Amino acid sequence: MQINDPYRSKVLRWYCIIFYVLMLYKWVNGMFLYQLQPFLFSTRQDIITWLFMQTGVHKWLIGNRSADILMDGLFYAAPLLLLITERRAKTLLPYAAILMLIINWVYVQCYTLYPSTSIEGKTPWLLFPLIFTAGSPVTFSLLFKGLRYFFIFLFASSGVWKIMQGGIFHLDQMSGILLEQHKDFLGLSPSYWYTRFILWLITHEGVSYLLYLMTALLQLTFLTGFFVSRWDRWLGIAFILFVLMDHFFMRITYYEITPFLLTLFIKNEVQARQTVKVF
Amino acid sequence: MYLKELFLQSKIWFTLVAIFIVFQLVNNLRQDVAISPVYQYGMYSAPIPPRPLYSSFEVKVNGRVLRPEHYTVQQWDKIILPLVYYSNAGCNNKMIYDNNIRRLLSYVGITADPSNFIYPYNRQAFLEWYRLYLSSFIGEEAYSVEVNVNKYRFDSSFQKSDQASLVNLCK
Repeated sequence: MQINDPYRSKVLRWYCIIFYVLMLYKWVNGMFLYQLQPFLFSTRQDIITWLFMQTGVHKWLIGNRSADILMDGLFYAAPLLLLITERRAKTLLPYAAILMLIINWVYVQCYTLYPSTSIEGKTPWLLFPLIFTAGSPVTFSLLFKGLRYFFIFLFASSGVWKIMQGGIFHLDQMSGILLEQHKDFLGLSPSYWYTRFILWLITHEGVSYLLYLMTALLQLTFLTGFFVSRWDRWLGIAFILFVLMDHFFMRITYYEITPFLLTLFIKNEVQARQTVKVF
Repeated sequence: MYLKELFLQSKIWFTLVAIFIVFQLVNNLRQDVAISPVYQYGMYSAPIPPRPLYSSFEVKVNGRVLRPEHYTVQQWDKIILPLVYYSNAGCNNKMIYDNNIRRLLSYVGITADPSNFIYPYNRQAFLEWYRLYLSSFIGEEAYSVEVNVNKYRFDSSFQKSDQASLVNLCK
C-alpha cells in the first residue's frame, strides 16, 4: 500500500483548515450539537436517514447533554485524528478515514434531523472522508477529481432546475422568494434599513429578477467544468461570490459547502507536469 | 475519460462511483425519496409567486418582542426553527411514516418502530424547554415566553392583519 503522497497531504491540510475555521464559526453562532440542545426532530424523505432513525440514536441524543458533547467531540476531533495519522502513521490513514466516515455520517444524519440546517449543505462532510480511504495516490487523485465533478454537478444542476421547473420564466420569482425568506424582518422590523432594502427589491420586480437571473446564469456556467478545467479558479471565485451574496440577500449560509472549493483550487502538480511533457 | 481511468485503476471504486451517478440521475428524474448522499439541488427552482397572505412567528421574551436584526442568521434560525418544527414536523413525520417509511422499510425486512419517527407532542414540555433553550443564548434569562403566529397581508407593503397563539397543527 503506497500512502506517501504530497498531493493528498495538501488536500488534507486545507480540508482541516476549512473544517476548523467553520468549527469556530459554528461555535460562535451556537451551532454545536450541545448548543442546539435537541428536543424534537423532523424526518425527511430519505431511505438512508430512515435506517439511521430506526436505530433510535437520534432519540438517545435528545435531552442527553453528555451524549451531545460526546458527539461534538468525536465529530470535531476526527479531522485532527486524520491529520495526525497522516503525519505519524501513514499506513493507518485509510482506517482513520473510515472511522471519520462513520462518525461524520452518524453526526450529520442526526444533527440535520433537529432544527438546524439542511443535510444537503453538509454533503462535504459525508463525501470527503471517502476519498481519504483510498490506498494509492492515483486512486486518491481520481476520487478527488470525481468529487470535483460532483461539485460541478451540484451547482450546475441548480441552474438547470431553474429552467426545468420554470422559476426563471417568472418575472416576480425573486420577489416571491424574498417575501417568503424575509417575512420575519418584514413583519417584526419594518423600519430597519435591511427590511426597507428588501422591500424595495420586492416591489421592484425587474431588479430582483435580475439577481435571480444572474444567479441562474452563474450556476449554469459551471457546466463548462464538465469539459475543461482551466477556468476552475474563476468558477471557484464565482462560487465564493455566490455564497457571500446568498448570505447577504437571502440570509442563507452555505459555508459548509466550501470544502468542495478545494477541488477547484488544488491541482495535482505532478499530473499536470506529466501532461505538459506528453503534449 | 474519467470513468475509464477510474475503471483501469480500481474496479471497486469504479462500481461505487457508477452506482452513485446512476442514483443521482434517477433521484433527479424521480424527485421523490432521496438516498443519502444523493440529493436534488433545485433550490428555489419552482415558481414562487408573491402571495397576498403570509404568516410568521412572533416571540416575546419577558414582554419584549425578539427582532431578527439583533441576531446572526444562525441564532435567528435557532429561535424560529424549533417553532416551525413544533408546528409542522409532527404532521410531516406522521405523514411520511404512514405513506413511505413503514412500507419501504418492510421491503428490506425491517419493521419500522413508529416511536423512532414520530415524536410525542407535549405543548407544556415544549414551551418549558423552549424557555430554557432561549435563555442559553439570547443574552438574558427568559422568565416568560409568549409565542404568537402573526398573519400579514402583502400588497406592495407588509401589514399585520391577524394574530393567533402557537398551535401544534397536528393536534
